[in-house]
Amino acid sequence: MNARLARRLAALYPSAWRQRYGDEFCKLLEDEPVSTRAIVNVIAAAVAEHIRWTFDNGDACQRSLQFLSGAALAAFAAGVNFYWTVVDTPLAPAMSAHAALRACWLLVQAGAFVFGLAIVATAASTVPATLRDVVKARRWGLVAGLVPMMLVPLATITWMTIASWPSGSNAATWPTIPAHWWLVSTIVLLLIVDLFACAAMMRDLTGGRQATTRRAGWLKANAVALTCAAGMMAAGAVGWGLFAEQYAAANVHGVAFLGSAALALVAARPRRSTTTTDEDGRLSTRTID
Amino acid sequence: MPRSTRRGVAQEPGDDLGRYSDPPLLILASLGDGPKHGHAMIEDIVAMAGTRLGPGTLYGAIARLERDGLIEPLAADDRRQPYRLTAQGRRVLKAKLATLHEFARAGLRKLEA
Repeated sequence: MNARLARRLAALYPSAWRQRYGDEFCKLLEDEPVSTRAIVNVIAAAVAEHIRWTFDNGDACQRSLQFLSGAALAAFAAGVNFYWTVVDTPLAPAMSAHAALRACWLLVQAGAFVFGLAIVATAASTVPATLRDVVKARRWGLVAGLVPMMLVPLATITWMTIASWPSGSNAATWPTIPAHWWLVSTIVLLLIVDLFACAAMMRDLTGGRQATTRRAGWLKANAVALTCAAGMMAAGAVGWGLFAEQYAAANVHGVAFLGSAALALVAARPRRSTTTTDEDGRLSTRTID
Repeated sequence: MPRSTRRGVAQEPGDDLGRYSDPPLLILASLGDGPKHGHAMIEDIVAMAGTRLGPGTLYGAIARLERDGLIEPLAADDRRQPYRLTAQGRRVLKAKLATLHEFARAGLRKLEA
């Protein structure tokens, strides 16, 4: 395998892993004959290594942030899907006349509002410190990786809006039900991919830094708020399904909201600790209390 | 973690049923007779077990074994990094092989009964 291909394949691994094994791994790849199976094997191993580094390493605060980002995206995906499931049906106008249905819908909206506030509060407390660290250490590669990750939800929502915009004679029937489901499925898929990218990026952004160390209490409060908000949304979705006799749709969204509540609940257990990176790129964690 | 990606030896039907292909154990066994770097391990494992580990599989297992303190790196030779068993790694390998040996004996006894 030529050196250039070997370097590109090694670049797929997490940065801390590369610091420790990158050079020798490149040499091994150069010694190995090129084959599709070897390339696929390296790509699959790199993905597995990202998942392992993302969820097995780092301090409690970093893991909390990763779980919170997952919870936020899961709830967002479920919320978008739920909204689209309701907005195109006769149930949307019917809600104004049906008090229980409307109450459940308002419960979901209230949960989404609290959820949004908690996400903004979490971001406001961690993003500036993390960005300061990134700028100070001149880790521009991480910023370059972060930008597309942030653009995915934005691009998705923009595309969704354009695709569903009523136009001409199709205004009353667009999007059709199949187009509607394709759009929603693609959005959810993109958001799931973004969820993993977001978690992996959070790992690298906060890796070896102490940007989150002093914010354990704040993170915990926000994680508790997120858990409650996701629980409210789950209850609202299931209640809505009960009164609208749309059990299947309600159950799917209720489970999705509960999933995000579970992620936020896991995130609600941060401890004060500090993570450092040694010369070999290994992360070590020291719990403060 | 992905497992073996390529068979190194021509096979008769059913040959692969008995092949033990747990990458960490194969690496420990390969290091049993002395330190080796990655490429040498791959070739040794092909000769020993007929299984060719993919590069990603190999280094995933190496990282895990090193983290668990079962192997340790030696001074690098050019850019090739040799590894050797630690005392704990040697103990684990012996225990695993003894278990496999017992398992093989029990299986053979059943066939002969």
